[in-house]
Amino acid sequence: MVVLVGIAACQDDPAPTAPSDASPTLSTPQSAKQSKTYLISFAESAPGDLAARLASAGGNVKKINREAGVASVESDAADFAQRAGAIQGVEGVGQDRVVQWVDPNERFVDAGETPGGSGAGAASIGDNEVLFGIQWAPKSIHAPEAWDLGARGNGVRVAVLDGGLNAAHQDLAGSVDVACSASMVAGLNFNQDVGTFSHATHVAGIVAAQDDGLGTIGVAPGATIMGVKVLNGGTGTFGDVIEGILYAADPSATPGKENCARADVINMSLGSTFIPTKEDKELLKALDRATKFADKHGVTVIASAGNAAVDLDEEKKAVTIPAMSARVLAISATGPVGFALGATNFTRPASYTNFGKALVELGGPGGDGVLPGNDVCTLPLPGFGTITNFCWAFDLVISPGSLTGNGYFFAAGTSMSAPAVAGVAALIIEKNGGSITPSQVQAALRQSADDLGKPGKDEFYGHGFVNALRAVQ
Amino acid sequence: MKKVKRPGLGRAVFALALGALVSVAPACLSGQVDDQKVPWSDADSIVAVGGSRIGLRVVAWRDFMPRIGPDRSDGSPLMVSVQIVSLEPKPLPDGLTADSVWVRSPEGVWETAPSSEPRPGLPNGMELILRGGPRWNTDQRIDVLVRLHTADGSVHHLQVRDQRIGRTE
Repeated sequence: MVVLVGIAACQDDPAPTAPSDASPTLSTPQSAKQSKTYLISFAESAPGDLAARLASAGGNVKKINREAGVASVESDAADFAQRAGAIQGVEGVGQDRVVQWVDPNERFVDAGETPGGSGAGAASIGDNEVLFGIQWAPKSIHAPEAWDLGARGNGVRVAVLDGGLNAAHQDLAGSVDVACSASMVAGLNFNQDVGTFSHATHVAGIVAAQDDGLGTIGVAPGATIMGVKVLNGGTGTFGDVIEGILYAADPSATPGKENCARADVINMSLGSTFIPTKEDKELLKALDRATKFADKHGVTVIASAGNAAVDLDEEKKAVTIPAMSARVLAISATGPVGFALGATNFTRPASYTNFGKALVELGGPGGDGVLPGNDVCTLPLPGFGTITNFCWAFDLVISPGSLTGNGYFFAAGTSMSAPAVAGVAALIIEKNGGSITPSQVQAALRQSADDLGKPGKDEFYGHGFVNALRAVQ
Repeated sequence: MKKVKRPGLGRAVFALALGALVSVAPACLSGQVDDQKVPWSDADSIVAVGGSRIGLRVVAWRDFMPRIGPDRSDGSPLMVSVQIVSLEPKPLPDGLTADSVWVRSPEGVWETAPSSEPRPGLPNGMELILRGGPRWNTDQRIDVLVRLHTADGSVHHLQVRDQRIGRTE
């Protein structure tokens, strides 16, 4: 079949005849700096009246965390950065950036709402979930075997730093600590966002969808989710992410949240890969301070490695954040090709995953929709009938994903692999009764991982592909 | 095997960031061309070079993972992994290079020079990564054509059709 080509949208443009560079010449960037919010990194030696000095420099201090050494300051003064940077103990001043991500209609393959099972428990957990038959991801990391040993993630708190989270989803209701969830986005609650799909809900479901016989089961079905909203409608800032990290690590410092316990694990299925400018480096400093603060407070921080197929060993000037921020575990993705057709190559590196020994600490199941064609497959859901969808869709990760209601979605990316590892971290923490440091959690994850690829640390798997069973044995 | 000269992934990665700064995705990028000028009719799905049969594998996607960093209003520009592979269990012929790639969707044709990015685990082939493409809708179908040059100076056009633009999170 010949695909008809329309170039109407380009008729007014000269058609270049020479091959273009991979970097297109684009229109002048629209400034994303209207907020004039600055992120300040400062040392312990900073004066006690730092807030007052920042005010004298022309700033309005929105938040300051002396222990973390970061502050968020608004200013319209053209020379604020220069003046603030001259204050004793101030190590970095960076203008915050707005981020956006949009939610187009065709975002995901909607698996629909499940009919709803009895909700009754089963002797062997997980296999009474309606969609368990197509949940290759937790099986690929041996989560069911870990569950068989009693691992659930009970009592472990996992903060999902993301957009709005549907705490009322049937597979998450009861798992989400609503009272201690929070939004860093002014004027919105943690469970509010735009669109129908909720990235946060999908991520949270991978971590902790409950063992309830309804839809899917998470890697740590007994864990508690703290929804921490740092994005809205795809828009957020470094400042919101930093604030979210600080909140998850010490929520009791926030008025109205005095009784909230900190998270044990932070999952950030978000990020960027770029070559930082001098100003970017100031923002990275502040982000590093936040992740170090979380580590110091006993929080294991996990982030997605990114989906641009970039070799971070080759591109030494590039960074992927927050995956490469201090004390953060970066997770690459794997996925099968043709699960619906019988494939079992679940640990195959995903086509899109960023990689490189400088970046990747561990691999996890993220899915990969590269199966050619648009054939339709029908798979059995033992005890619940069948499910029909594109064959390639079954190579993606199924999880709750609706902003409202009880929908389930297929999705692929390192956004999906990171929470699988966060779930295993929760199982490890549970096994140790909560008395385990982030360094010990990281070591346990590394030591229990399957050393795939080249022996030792390698580009795609880092220290290995995460293994929930070995992590709790 | 001679590798294709890299235009610099650093620039490409930077382009990701630069592209992300653009709040209004341009319908036309500098690399879009008139389809009539693309040698589709000269292209085959398999070509024989130096006694080897060579084919294409293509993965196209746009990334929608939430970002921190520069503003990105509607997902990343199109990225395409083009794997030029020997269909026999032997390496690609020495001196084989690729200098141009065309990607066609119902919205237009994007022409670009690829960068070769060796990817572990790809024996008997080479991978070209295209970055900074148009923001075509996901789930659209695309055709991809690669112009190959052999050591003896001959030119071959290799194509694969009807590939889906996927999306990542």
